[in-house]
Amino acid sequence: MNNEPRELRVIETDRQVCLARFSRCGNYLLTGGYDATIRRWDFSGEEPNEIAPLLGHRGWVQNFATLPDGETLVSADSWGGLCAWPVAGEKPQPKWKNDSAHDGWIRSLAASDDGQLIATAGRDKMVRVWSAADGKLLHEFAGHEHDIYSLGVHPGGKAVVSGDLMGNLKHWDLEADKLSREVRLEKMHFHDNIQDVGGLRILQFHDDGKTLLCAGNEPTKAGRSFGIPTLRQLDWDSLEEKKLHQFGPDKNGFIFDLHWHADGYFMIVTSGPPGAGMFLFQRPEQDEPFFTHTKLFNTHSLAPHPDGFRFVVAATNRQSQGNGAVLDKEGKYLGNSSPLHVFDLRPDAA
Amino acid sequence: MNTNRCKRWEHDISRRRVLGAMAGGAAGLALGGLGGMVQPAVAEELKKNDKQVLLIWLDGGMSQLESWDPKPNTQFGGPYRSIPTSVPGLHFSELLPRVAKLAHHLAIVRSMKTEDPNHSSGVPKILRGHPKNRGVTYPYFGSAVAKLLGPTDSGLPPYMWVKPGSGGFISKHAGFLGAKYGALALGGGKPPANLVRPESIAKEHDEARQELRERFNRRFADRRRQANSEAHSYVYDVAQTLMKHEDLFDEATLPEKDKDRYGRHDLGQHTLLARRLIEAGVRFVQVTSYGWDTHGDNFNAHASRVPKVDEAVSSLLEDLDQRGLMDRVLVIVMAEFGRTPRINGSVGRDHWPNAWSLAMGGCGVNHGLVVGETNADGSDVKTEPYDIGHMFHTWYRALGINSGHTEYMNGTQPLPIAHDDLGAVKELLS
Repeated sequence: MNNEPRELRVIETDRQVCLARFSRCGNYLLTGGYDATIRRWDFSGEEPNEIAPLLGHRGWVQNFATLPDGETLVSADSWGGLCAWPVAGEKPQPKWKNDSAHDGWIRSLAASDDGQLIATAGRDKMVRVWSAADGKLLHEFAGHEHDIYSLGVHPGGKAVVSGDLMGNLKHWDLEADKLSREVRLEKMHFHDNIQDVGGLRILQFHDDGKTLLCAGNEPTKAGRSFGIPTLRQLDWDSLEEKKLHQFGPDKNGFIFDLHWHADGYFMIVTSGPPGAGMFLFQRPEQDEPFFTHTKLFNTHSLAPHPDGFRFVVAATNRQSQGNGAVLDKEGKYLGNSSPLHVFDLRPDAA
Repeated sequence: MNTNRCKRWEHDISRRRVLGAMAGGAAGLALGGLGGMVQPAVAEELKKNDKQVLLIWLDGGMSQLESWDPKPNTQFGGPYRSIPTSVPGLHFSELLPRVAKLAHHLAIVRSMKTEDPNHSSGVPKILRGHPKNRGVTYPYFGSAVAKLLGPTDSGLPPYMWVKPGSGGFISKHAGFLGAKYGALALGGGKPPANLVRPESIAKEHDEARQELRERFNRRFADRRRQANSEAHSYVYDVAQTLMKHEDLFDEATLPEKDKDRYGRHDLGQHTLLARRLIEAGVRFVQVTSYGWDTHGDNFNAHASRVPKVDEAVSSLLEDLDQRGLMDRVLVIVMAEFGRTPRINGSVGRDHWPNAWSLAMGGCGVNHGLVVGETNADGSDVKTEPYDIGHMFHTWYRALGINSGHTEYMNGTQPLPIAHDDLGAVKELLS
């Protein structure tokens, strides 16, 4: 990348967004949020145009994945619901739906590279693997003793990894249908008073499955949950750390989202105290990010467009923090929102 | 207009009665020292009272939305579900499954509306009942109850505070009542250091030393302000009493099952100690849990924290019920405020005095009910709002202290024990 990303536009929202992703075809921007809704924007024209949302989830929609067929989206909610949808269409209805895929909050969802498998995990401490085609349960793994925060499916489709609040990482062998290996990343967890903080927030395979990326933070304080946004590269064969990346001071938050760009760098968004969130680009072999953007507020998700140039960062409105009631002119209590910032890596983007 | 609150005229009558009783003020001086006395007739009556208090204080502010007043599937409701409780129609957050099964022992107030959104000023305001400003520093609730009801027959200190961190005698809680009504803080749930008589000192030698100390204290007190010398002497007396109860702090005498039930964490083990202190006869025990100021990562924080409240409070309720102590012990679970409905950019919730909840159970209060209501998204109180002053009146009355009749005497200055414009919430009183 020779040029800094140029901000093309901001899509204003009236709700908060946990996750933003483009459909595989690039025609739709999809977001999940705190309002049980998957919102859709048609991105095929010159201006993004919001179209009918996908309704039917409950609680938060914090996790979904688009499948390689280009047509299907599988989403999970915080009440244990799992659902497959067509991405397109005026008023899409679920292809299949399971309202009790987990007991409570599904904290992570990952799809296999071939789109055949969907792995889910949650507060019920269970890892489950489903058939993406019909929602049939294929595997079920128990063994975590704490909330599971993250999942990854190995590119070979034969292994699933799960990470929990305490920094425990478990490798589940899908062929043998059992736990294969486990390791604890102690620095990704911190106990203070009566609170456990941190945990493995993101697990992703990289480099054709040779590297496992473990992201979140190195927690330093409970309550406000301070920490250093942290990315650890583990060698998949040995599960030993190959490279450590840390971003910002010890009073920041977490790495909230992470993607690999084909030009050879990670695209990362982080959170922190007011004004401290950032998005940055980090080459895997280097110590420092080569690009850092700190002008957005508490960024929560980053969605790269399949064209390799455009991407969207879901941030937070200004002054999202504050004690007591924040009212509008009519006296209505105001919630926060997630402006969606559209960037382009091309120098001539307009 | 909420008809459950006491009427102003009820307080007016009480006040006249109290002022009449003040004619015997000189006798009152003899009874209680210079600062913060109670009228003698009232004091004598209260002496017979066997009521006790166990306050669980969640410092920093637990979210009402992740506990007592869930708003599932709403804009600000967060990720968690609500679950039914043992009281038909009443739901708690799914993070409180055990307490939910014991909700019939509790009264939940969902319409707390207080003034102060800051920790530093809000904590003392709430713990003092936020009375009218009369130019004096009011005592914390524990000190107030220690003064009004005194020690029980056990002779144990009337106000003990179990907390993480350091301990000691915390006199500032007593306000104008005078230092001796402060809290004996058990830092880390441990007794004061050197509580046990060293083996190198024989029992009779120790008693002789104590007698000598008391003589010196009396001589010292004759030449100094009574309140100061009283407090000084009191601390020694407390140490002596505690030495006789050192078994209270011997963890080896606790069943492992109890340690598990209450939870093997600060809050659980401190609540278990508090139960023992209550059983032993301490008048007022406060258990404090710190770190509830979840401006960031609120939902994971509450997922980690609230289940510990669930373990501790449910075990406490079970034990008090099983031991027949529910009619004697008032249990309160609260903080200085709740947390904002809106979710900030750090996925946290900020300070929220505008519409929060607290829970109570045990002696003198109705149970199995919810009082007050917030609106659909939890952003305001929909029913009559209650200030902490209402709760102080309610709790005093639950303890058999008529908060309208009873006043402190600060020298010659009569002072109401709770905000004199407010009254008890009758619906809460059994």
